[in-house]
Amino acid sequence: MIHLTDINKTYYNGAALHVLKGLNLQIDKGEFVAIMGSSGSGKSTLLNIVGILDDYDSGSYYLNGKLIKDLSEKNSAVYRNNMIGFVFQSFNLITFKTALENVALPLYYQGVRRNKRNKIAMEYLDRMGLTEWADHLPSELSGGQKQRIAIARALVTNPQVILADEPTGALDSQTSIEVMEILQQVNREGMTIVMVTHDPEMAAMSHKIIKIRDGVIGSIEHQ
Amino acid sequence: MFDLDSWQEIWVTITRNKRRSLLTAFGIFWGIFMLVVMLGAGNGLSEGVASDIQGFSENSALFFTNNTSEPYKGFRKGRYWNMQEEDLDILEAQIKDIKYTVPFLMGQNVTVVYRDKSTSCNTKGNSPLYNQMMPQHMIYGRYINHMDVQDRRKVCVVGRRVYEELFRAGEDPIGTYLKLYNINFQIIGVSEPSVRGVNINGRDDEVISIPYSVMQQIQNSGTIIHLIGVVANENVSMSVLEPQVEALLKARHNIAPTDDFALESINVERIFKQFEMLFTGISVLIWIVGLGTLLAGVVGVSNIIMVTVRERTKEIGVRRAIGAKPASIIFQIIKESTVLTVAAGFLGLAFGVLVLDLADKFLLQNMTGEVFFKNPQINFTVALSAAAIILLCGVLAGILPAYRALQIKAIDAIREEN
Repeated sequence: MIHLTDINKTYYNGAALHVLKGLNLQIDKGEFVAIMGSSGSGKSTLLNIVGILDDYDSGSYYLNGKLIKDLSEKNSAVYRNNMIGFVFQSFNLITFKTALENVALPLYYQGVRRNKRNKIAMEYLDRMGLTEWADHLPSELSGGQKQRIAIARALVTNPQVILADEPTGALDSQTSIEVMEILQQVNREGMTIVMVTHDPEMAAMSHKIIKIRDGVIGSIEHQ
Repeated sequence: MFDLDSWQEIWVTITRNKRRSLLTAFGIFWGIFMLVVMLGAGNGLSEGVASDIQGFSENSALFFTNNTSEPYKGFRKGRYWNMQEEDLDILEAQIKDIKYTVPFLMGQNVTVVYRDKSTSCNTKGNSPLYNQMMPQHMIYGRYINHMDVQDRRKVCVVGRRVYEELFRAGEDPIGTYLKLYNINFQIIGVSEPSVRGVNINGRDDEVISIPYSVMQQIQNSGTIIHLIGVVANENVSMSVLEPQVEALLKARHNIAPTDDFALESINVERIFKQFEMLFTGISVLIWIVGLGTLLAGVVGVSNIIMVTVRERTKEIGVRRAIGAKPASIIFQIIKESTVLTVAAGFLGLAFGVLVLDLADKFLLQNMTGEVFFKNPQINFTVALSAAAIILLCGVLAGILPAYRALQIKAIDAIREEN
């Protein structure tokens, strides 16, 4: 599913910063993987590369058998839209759109017609138990509800993988566990999930914990 | 392109910051408003002047004499000379492109007596053709005709203002007699010029016209003519005929061909062309100023959309993360600036037209007498080009902000979190 071979990435901001140093990683379909590491270890860079938000210098990255390298802005947008669902720490919902419209947005960029995409979005909101909040703006919802909307938005295109970047970072512990349970549920239904987190408690709810150290895989723990 | 969501988003972005959107839109509104009002005013001015000179035979010239300034063929310098009546026939016979010639004699300022009333006014010796070159509006009666000239009838056409001084309002003067030059003249008509912007030796509503043959008799001047009007055929420019007429007249009267002072001419066609050029110049100036104002408005809109783009960095980043293609971002921004510009622009257009209309209805309609301003309107073509310009401005204003929005990478939306 996700196949990274000898990935190197160097940032040039004044001084050259070699972040990923020949990283190799394989994540199979249906896995729930947590990526941990101290700040500066390269875990964010890794997530950006996996999420086709950033390019890499050398090596190869195959996502579902497709080589992801040197894509144009347009193609990477299409790949992100079709193959990847993002869940962010601060939800990143569009503030002036209702819950339903937020969930339907990725389908809008696929060119799905309004009625059809609202119907699909409604199904996913329903799965998150948020049917009655469909017409509310994000500002009228709690953190947990917002994150559930964000998850629904990530799922709505039926992607290959969900990339969750500190999905519980902005939530209290009770809500965090609820959100994690939803992610586990989604994973049980067959979705591959890659999550970056600081929190060992949350990481413990995944199948596999990958620790990044100095730009390479430090250790892999199976639960 | 028509998609409810994208329009809804435009609406939301524009209304989210109402005051700023309004101030920005005002730049465009004002630009278009000024352009429309100035164009309308320019149009009013040129139409006003045009209506003042309309009807006058435009393709014509007037010729009159002065003392010679060069000795020629044994004649001394400074000789005074006159054109003669036969010059008219010779000109018409020898220069084919002359449509007709008009003889004219200047009379004295005389005292005019009607019964117990008297006034003083200028007199002119005219011919029926004068009424063709410079059409008269007859309030009563008729103009001087060929028989009047031929038979040297003591008849006169009275200018409207002279009539008003001597007669009661509404009184029909036809057939009554006026005394001028100590001769009784029967009134055959009351006239006023239908062309107000052009006068030959005084305004026609302030003078009394008599047949030029009678004027020659009064002045005891034989067959001399003070002024010849030459009207050219439609397909020939007066500027081509003018030197031919001058050459012929000079040759007939032994004037040096190089003597520019002895025979003077006023080329009406050239004056009209100068007017036309003046108004073209005014209209070009208006467009330059108007478009300049509009450009300032465009820069304003561009600036404000730029600020909006910066504010929306995160939102645009998220959109790109979840699959917005660069083209859809560009379209979004350009549509936004176009909507703002078009809404403001059309409002400016409508308001400008309204102001012109009100000015026309209430200001100009109540003015009497000398109005050199008429129909301050813009025509449909101008309105259409203004609309096209507005649309173009909207797209232009969006280009730079759209480019800026394109620089926002999806990764920027996420970076702040880690």
